[in-house]
Amino acid sequence: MGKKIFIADDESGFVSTLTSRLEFEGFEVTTAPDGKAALELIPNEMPDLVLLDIMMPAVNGYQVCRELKANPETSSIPILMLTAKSQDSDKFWGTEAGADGYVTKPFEMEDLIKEIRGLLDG
Amino acid sequence: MLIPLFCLYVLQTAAHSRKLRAQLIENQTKDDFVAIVSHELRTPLATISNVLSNALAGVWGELSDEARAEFKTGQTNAKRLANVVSNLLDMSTIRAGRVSLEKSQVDMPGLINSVLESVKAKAKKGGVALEMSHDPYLGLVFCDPEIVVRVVTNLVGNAIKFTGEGGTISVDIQNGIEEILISVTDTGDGIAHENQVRIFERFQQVDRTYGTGEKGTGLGLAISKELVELHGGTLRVRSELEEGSTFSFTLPVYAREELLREAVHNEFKLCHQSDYLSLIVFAFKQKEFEESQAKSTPKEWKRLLGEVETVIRQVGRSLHDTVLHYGDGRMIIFLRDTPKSGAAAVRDRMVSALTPYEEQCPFVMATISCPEDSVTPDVLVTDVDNLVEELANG
Repeated sequence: MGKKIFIADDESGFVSTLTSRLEFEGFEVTTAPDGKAALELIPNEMPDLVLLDIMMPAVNGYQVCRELKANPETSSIPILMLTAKSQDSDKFWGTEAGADGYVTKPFEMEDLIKEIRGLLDG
Repeated sequence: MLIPLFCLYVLQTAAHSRKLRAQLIENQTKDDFVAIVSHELRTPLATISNVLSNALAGVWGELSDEARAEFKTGQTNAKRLANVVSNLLDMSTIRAGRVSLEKSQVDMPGLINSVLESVKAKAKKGGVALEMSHDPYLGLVFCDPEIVVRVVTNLVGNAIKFTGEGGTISVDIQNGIEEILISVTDTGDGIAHENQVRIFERFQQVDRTYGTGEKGTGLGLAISKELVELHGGTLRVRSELEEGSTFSFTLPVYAREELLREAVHNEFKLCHQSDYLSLIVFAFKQKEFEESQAKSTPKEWKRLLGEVETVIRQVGRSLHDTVLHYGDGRMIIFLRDTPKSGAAAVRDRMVSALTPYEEQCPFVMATISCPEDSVTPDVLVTDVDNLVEELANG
């Protein structure tokens, strides 16, 4: 069984291209289109890693990250933040919220996969 | 008209200082123009890049050689577009004066070595050797390491692009009296004199024959130049056709900034022991403000104001104080819980800490403090009114 990756992002095109690639690389993928759904699904799914977009409607990525890290059941799941913004403040707030890593869109798919594998092995 | 506005602010802050603090943090996460544009450009680009990368990885089956070549072209162009987008955004962030320098004590040879490490593979691919030398008596330099990394990466990256196989790129660091000089020398083609100004302008690319010929955005040098100038340094080129080029930049050693930072930090730390509300007002004396402004070029003036403000902001932030910017760099207000006597001590010592700046920048400071439960808006308004007037008239 491949490791389970959860993607929370509101850009459906982006999510579908990412899903195809991660499945191709042997991961199992579950997705949510917004932060609220992510918070409902993740405690049931218990994925091995979460990819979290920052700018999502209703509940944003930081809030999702903070809640997951505050919940003892989900606090050990590594979280990789995906951002299309370029400001250093993103990194600051991401770290503040407890994210384990950071990737700026657009990224090299190979780099993302390396980052994911690194977090899963660590 | 400044004063009523200011008083309004004080009223609000006095009544809701804690709530305001929370709001300010919230505001920092709110999206501004650059962030939104950046998001709207980057998200579709990310999807396009993913599709191309998936195709090349064989997600939808093996590709014919012809299809592979076409997808590769697509990928190269998507990357180029991504670079343009991020450079344009950098440029607009710098132009809007929204880059704040995070300075620290930096071991320059160590930092530059790490840059060279990161471009080693690229240099090897281009058949170019990398060298580094430096003054043996180099102290720590007070600068923003991330910005230095970006500038050096850009200069060395350009040098690799435009130096033919078998060439050498050497980076050298020299100590000056009030600045250090970092130069990147290549054995490439050289740049004709008539082009040496143009290359620092936006979207200007000058053909050079050697090198990997990778397409740039035409923004790299313009951004580097702005970043170096933001730091109070200069970026120059010296080049002769067929004799290679040297791009060098200076970074001033800001001893006085360190002094200010330390003093601000110590004084504020001293005042962290009480429940009293206090405002600390930074202002420029009206007359000297105008005189100094007239003496400097707009760029120098902006930089000086930015420098002072950055120090104060960083110190405030490190102590979890709230720093508000009021007007065109003329007033910076700290909200702090400080006893009356402590505030007076802060005032005295801050004035001496600001003295090194005074010659160029007649910066003065004063505090208002009162027990929190006895703060009435009337008292504060009058206090602030008087204080502003007093400060402005010197």
